[in-house]
Amino acid sequence: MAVINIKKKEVQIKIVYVGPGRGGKTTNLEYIFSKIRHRIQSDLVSIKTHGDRTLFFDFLPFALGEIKGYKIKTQLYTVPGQVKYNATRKLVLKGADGVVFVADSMEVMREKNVNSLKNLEENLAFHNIDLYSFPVVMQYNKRDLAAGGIPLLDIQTLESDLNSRLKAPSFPASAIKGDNVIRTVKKAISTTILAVQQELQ
Amino acid sequence: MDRSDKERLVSDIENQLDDFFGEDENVSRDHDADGAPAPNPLEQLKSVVLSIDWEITDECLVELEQSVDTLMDTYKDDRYTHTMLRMLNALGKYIKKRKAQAHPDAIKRVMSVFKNLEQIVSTAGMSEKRKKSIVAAEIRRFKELKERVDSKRRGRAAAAGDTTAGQRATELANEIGKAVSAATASLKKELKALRQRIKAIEKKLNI
Ligand SMILES: Nc1nc2c(ncn2[C@@H]2O[C@H](COP(=O)(O)OP(=O)(O)OP(=O)(O)O)[C@@H](O)[C@H]2O)c(=O)[nH]1
Ligand SMILES: [Mg+2]
Repeated sequence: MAVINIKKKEVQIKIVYVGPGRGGKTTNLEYIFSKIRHRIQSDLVSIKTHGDRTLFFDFLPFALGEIKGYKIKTQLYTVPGQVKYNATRKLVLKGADGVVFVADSMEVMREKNVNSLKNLEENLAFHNIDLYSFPVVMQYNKRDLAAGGIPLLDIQTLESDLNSRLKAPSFPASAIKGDNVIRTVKKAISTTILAVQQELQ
Repeated sequence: MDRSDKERLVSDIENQLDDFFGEDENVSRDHDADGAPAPNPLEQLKSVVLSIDWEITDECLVELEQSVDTLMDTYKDDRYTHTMLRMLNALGKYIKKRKAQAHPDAIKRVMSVFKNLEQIVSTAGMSEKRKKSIVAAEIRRFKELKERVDSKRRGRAAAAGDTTAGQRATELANEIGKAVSAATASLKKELKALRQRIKAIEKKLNI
């Protein structure tokens, strides 16, 4: 649940990037950070193993500015995608207000994407949250690999595998090049703020 | 919140986001639509190498061996390309044999050799001199890795001579491992019980 301080007129929202290992969650945050670092005071905090895999999480907090007189503070997190780190994933998802699901478009990742989404559903259920009524944005990452001849899942397949029931806003993207990374985070923030606002009603 | 309120809120949010992130962003270009990319002779190898980067399984190591084999045949008359492929072959065999014990740099070498191999193959008109220097650099690093692996192996053999100390350390490590997992298990049990108690209290208090 968002932390809302009526007195200070402050709302804090937490958005978590989830998805299969090596899908590009950390790369999303790194790109976002590179675009906004000149205007924020905070730093991107990453805890990694030597192989560059996220061990605990990445964390990027920033103050977005005011909306309707409320200061909006945003915290972006990533979870480690590797299957074995589920305890950490659960922990990081605690108190989340919205998620971005970063799917890996590579054909070989088809099953991992589906399993990862299932895992998200379970982990949210652990916190008494229903995935299907929660703010979610889908991102189909690594579209740039098509140019190098890597077999990719087409958008239609990804949609039907991952988004047919969810019907979340979705974007093809390339986190490494920055294509649609900002659009994804903007959508995630606005969807989340709207949901938080609705909950307050 | 009525409709116009909501619309106003949405536009407020969007304006704030545009201010913060800026509006000039890359729009997506879906390369699927760009027409067929030029055929890439390394395509299969590339997807194998990428999956190895992502997770090392026996399956992809076997695939690596197979695609390198095929390519070695294709490029048997091209000495630079062939040398790079032979290095990939050796690295793949080594990783497959040593599994998790393989030197962590071995995977890095696979990535690097592949990247340069791709450059050699895909850059039209690259001079022989340039090819030679790329390949020479890879060979040097390959040899460095080999030396590190060999000296590690010698170190292990020496340590094996000193059985008592080595064995004691292993035993101790096993012991600690067991103790830690027992402790974690009981901690988990406690936490679960605690959580149930809290839930019960919450229920009573109706919160
Ligand atoms: N070609 C391409 N590579 C990408 C893209 N996004 C990420 N990568 C690469 O994929 C690898 C994994 O990216 P990360 O951002 O570390 O993935 P992650 O989801 O944080 O992985 P975990 O922390 O293990 O869960 C890195 O080598 C990235 O450079 C992309 O859009 N295109
Ligand atoms: Mg990561």
